[in-house]
Amino acid sequence: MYRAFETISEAVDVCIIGGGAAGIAMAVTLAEQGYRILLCEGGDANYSERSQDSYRGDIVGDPYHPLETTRLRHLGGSTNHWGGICRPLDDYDFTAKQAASETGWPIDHATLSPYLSAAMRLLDLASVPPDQPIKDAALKRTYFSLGPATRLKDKYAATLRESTRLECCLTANLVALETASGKVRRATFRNYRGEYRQVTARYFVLACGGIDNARLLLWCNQQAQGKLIPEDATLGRYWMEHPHATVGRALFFEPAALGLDEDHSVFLSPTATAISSRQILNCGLRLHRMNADVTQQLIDELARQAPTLAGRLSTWQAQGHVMHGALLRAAWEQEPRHENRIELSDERDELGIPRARLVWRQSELDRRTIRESMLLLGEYLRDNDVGRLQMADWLADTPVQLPTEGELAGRHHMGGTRMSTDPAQGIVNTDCRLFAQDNVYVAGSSVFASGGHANPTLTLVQLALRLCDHLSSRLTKGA
Amino acid sequence: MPIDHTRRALLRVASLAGIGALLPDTTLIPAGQAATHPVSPLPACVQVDGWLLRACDR
Repeated sequence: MYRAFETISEAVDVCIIGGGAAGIAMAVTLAEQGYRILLCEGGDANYSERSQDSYRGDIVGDPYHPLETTRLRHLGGSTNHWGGICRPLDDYDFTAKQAASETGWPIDHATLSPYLSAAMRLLDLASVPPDQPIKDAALKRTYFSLGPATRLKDKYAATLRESTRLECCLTANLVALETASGKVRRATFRNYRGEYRQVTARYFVLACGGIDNARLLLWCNQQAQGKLIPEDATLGRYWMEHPHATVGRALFFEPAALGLDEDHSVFLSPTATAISSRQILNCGLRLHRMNADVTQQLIDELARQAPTLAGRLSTWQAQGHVMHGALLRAAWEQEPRHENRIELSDERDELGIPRARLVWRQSELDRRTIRESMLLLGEYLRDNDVGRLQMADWLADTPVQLPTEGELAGRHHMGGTRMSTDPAQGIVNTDCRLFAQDNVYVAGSSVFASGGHANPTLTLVQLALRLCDHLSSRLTKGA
Repeated sequence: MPIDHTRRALLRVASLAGIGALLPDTTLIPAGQAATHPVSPLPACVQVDGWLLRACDR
């Protein structure tokens, strides 16, 4: 049920701060298990300029979308505008790559697997077929659940409205965490009328997204004179995105080789072996089949550059052989780097909290990852004579000059409160708990140690459900 | 796993006579000839206007 801001001071089992994908997933799951939950959402029930304004921030480094356009700050969070495209991370996404050992997670794929089915049900995802090897290729065919996107505030509207164990308070904005003896005793919230309320809880979960988890912890730690996170060298650091771009075109002489004869969109990724041998990170290539007219234009362009091949293509077409062109788009893994970070800006929002400043640049490894992934596909097509690939201008020559406009990135915010076994290397432990606080946890993609190429929502909900199990165990034991 | 007598015997032959003693004569190609016996030669390649082509495409 909804609670008015001025009535939220009673002690609860778990106070969840942030009503997006992770926060709602945890709130409804723990409430179903009988625990008393308070869900504090900083925004309103629906979009408001007043709340959204807190998401404005500075950008330093490579071009990026305005921060307030990459996420939504009201109940349901960014599930109110996401596309519903999901797949789990690959096994090897959790491992330390040869090209960048910082990609290693302190947990493995099997740790999250038990939560996959429940996370997919919660997000209403279709089942994803297993990856398929491609003969003679260093690529595999991958699959996504392609929507439609579930809006969590709509799906759980009745629970949020009627549950007696789940209380939801809107316009409750976290402004401080009060810590003593390794525990947070109270969280202070402020509404837009300038009123403050303090909440006590056995456990607190910060679930404010892949930028604001770091921003709010930076602010709260500053207010607590560093007692919240005494080892803060990585706070806000190792922030990551999934760079996105249109990367080229290809003509497929044998569309069946990659499944383009049956499907209009085909997804490919380098195999683990190729990632290792090419010294790159993960990448998702998206092949979008062209219609017959555009395919013919592509054939004509290729023919001008390859007159001998053009003769073969003409013969095949005369024989009724069907070829397909495809537009190639990509989303690739970004190297986790200490210098890519969220920090506090000099400007404050209406609530008095410094805005976020994103410092973000793509590395040489990021550039190599997309170029080598395209070469893997182009070489496969050429060497097996099943097609030809054309790389985009910016990718064709080295050094790669990344696009400065267009898609840029997937609005997938990861890192900033990195998971680790060592407080010098991360902010949360493998239970997603702040190292220095016994009762404060972080939920969401901000804990990712690396991001693979897959959209992060499914993985962050898996982590959230795993955190529910952990909290349930502690609540049951009275710990 | 303990080595059985058959494996022990094979290893002894190999160590005395070189690994070639265990393989048919045709399996091993002298290093000097290896370059003249490519298994499946890849076509010469060129990149033109971003297209990854075989040289013979031109």
